[in-house]
Amino acid sequence: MPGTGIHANTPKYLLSVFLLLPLFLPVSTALAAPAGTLITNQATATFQDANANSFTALSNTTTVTVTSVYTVSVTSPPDASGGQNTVVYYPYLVTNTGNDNNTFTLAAATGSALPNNWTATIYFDANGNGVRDPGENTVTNSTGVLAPNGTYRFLVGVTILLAVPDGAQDDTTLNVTGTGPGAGATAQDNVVTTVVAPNLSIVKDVRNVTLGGGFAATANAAPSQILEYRLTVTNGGAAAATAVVLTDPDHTWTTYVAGTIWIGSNGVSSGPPNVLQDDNNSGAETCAIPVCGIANATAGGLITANLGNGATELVGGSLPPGTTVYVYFQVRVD
Amino acid sequence: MRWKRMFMALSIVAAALHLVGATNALAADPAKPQLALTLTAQKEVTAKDAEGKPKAEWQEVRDVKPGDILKYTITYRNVGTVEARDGRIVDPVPQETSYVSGSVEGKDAEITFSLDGKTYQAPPMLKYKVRQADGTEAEHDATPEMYTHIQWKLLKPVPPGGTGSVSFKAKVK
Repeated sequence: MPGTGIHANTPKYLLSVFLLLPLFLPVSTALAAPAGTLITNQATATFQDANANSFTALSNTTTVTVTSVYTVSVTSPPDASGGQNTVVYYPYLVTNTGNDNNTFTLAAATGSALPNNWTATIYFDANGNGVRDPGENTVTNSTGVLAPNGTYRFLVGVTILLAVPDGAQDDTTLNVTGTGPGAGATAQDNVVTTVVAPNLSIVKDVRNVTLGGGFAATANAAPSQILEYRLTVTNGGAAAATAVVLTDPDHTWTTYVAGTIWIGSNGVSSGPPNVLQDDNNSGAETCAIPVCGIANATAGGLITANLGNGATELVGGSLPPGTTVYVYFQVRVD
Repeated sequence: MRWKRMFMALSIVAAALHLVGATNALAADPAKPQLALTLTAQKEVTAKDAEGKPKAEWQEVRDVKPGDILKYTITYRNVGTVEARDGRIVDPVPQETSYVSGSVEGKDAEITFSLDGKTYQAPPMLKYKVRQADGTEAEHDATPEMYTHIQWKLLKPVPPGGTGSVSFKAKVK
């Protein structure tokens, strides 16, 4: 456009002015103009006549009013997981991004997409640290009045039921809704909670030691022949199994052969590096690694094996996810 | 007779007062330039043309929302009897708004900006300094959002009856 634009002065002139008049300005973030703000403006003109007499003129003053805008934002925490019968907490921050006061209602519901029907409760995060601390028991469903740029922190607690399998999920939807004239301001978030639980499996197979042969689901044997059982215990879940105790009481038509219990990582045979057990539950044996066990056998043939890290003669230990431990013992066919 | 003399004396006094008044009037209203400024604030709205199709146009407004773009137009007219020389028009960017980069217009005008309403420069040399935590100073180029005032230096005298206009746009914070 002819005659329109910015006419730069000479660099020399500009540089000198800059050096003389450096400006120190604070770095600030722009906030929305509050509702009701009056934006006024008035221009000024200076000019001269032929005799260099100076004059000043003012324009009229314009005034426009900033009207209310109602908006809201809510953070979106990542999906999380938890154990059975625990509560998973999701920290949230609601911000009134409008330019007028607003009160927001909070509602959390589970099971819209993954209907496991766990429960969701909203707690006020009094100290705003994103964690439900002791004493933070105030259940809330409103932010109260939030001024423009005002915030409210809370936690959505999702209670996982006890009897749910590893990997089960439920979704929780949080709705934030303004009230009154600001009812149009809404925000939503959705999180998926996943159960992490142990999932122990036991596979029992057998081989005829007297006749030789490998382990299989079944074996043929005649009276007086020796059978060896292998129990493969695996935690296929996403959480450690604790207090793991394996018992094998059913030895009808057989008699336990004393001193034949082996426990360890060797899944091919009962020998080393598996550890031979002493058949009693006295002493101070303990397991310091997950693939480990301490077993005993009663006169009646009840096999009890306390398995996992931390297992002792009396209590079971912990089997982390993915851990497999083998338990062997022999019986004679009656 | 006495009344007649008194009337004549009063007439002389009245004439003298009238003459003095006329002299004073001449002294207060000599030939001089006078720029009359009219400022308008407009917002772009969507209207419909004769065929009912939407079209954008600028309309004067009283209400705005955060994020709206306001266009301030200053129309000047020399209503004086002689030309106005070395005209400069200054308009502040309202605090609740920020200047929209590249939106300033002004035919036959040298346009400069200010960060404080005192010193005006073209944008390439508008800089500011920030004192950092360690006490040193960091120099930065000013961004259009930081401009506080705009100045139009009219490059041509405005003759009596002459008019013109300048404008800029500002975004409501």
